[in-house]
Amino acid sequence: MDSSPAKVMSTRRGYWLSMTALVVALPAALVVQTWGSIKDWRSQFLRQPLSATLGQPIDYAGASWTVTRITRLAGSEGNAVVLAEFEALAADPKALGAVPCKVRLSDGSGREWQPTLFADPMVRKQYPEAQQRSLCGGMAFAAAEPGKPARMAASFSIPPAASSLTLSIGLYSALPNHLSVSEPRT
Amino acid sequence: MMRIMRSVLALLFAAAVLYGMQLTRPLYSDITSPIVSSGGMNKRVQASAFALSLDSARVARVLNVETFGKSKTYTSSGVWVVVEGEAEAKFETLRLTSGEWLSGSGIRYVLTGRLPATIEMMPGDAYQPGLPRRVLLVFEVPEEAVAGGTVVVARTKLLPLDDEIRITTDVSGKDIEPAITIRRNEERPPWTVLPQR
Repeated sequence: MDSSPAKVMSTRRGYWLSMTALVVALPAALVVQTWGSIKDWRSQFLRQPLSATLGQPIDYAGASWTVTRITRLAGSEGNAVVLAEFEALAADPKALGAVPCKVRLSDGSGREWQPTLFADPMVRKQYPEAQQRSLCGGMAFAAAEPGKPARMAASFSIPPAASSLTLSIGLYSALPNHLSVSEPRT
Repeated sequence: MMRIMRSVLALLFAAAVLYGMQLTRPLYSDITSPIVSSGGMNKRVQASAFALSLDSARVARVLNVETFGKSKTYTSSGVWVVVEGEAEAKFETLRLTSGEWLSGSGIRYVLTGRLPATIEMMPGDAYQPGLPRRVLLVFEVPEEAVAGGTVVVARTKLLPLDDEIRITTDVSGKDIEPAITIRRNEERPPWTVLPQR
């Protein structure tokens, strides 16, 4: 067995190099292994809003989007109903139609509402044409004529006292970026 | 000699530590079990994502269901437990898809699947933040499972470490009514339980 000082030094260096490599390699392996989940989590929970105002077109996810109207109505059960109408002019509507889309309404205190599919009779009565529009996604883009915008609408049931409302539209292909439009102050 | 003894002792210590860890190791189901919030009848029980209160729990031998002018009678070899209350989402729209009756002996019974879809039970609704909504839960259970029963409600049974609310009911198992009728309403709340108390 060679126990010369040079050999011992070399063995020790090899040992500590391996230990150091382990400290780097283990976390790196964990990150590589879970990268897909980290990306999913980031797209679901982290948001980077692209702010626009009502009526102002903004480029997002391969289309020019415009939120045309946000209307607040008195609901039929002591609630308030918010009707949001928006449109998107896409160069390739079919491609955009295949991407799932998420529409949400949030208030100043961080509460978040999902669309109610025009469940409230007040919307059906006062805005029957909005009911004919699809919620964000495939159907709306499939129905759009070439060169014309796909018109969409979503209704939300919220407490009457909810304030500082913001509409957010997110296409899965563009997350964590999402379109964000605030209710105009009256 | 001392070196060998030290090694043996270290080995024995490590074996003892490992054995202790094995003995006290929690099951996977314990680690991922729901986070429970408990309470009693007529109290608003808060979980992190939703709140629930129950104000009525009634037991009957026969259940009648009236929808669109038609009546249907549901008999059972056990009894029917009809529970009403109010649920509210706290921060985001959610659904409460899991409702169970937990008997005093620890047996769980899921919501009945025998009622028509026209009677909207708890899982059929979306709960909006700031808008409390009436809930209806109907269970078909053996008579001996009634006394001391607890209603267990969760968003889903599939999410680990999610909220679960448990409300202990006040039914004794002795006050069983001969029949209860659930009538569908066209307005809110979308049902009425008869005879009214």
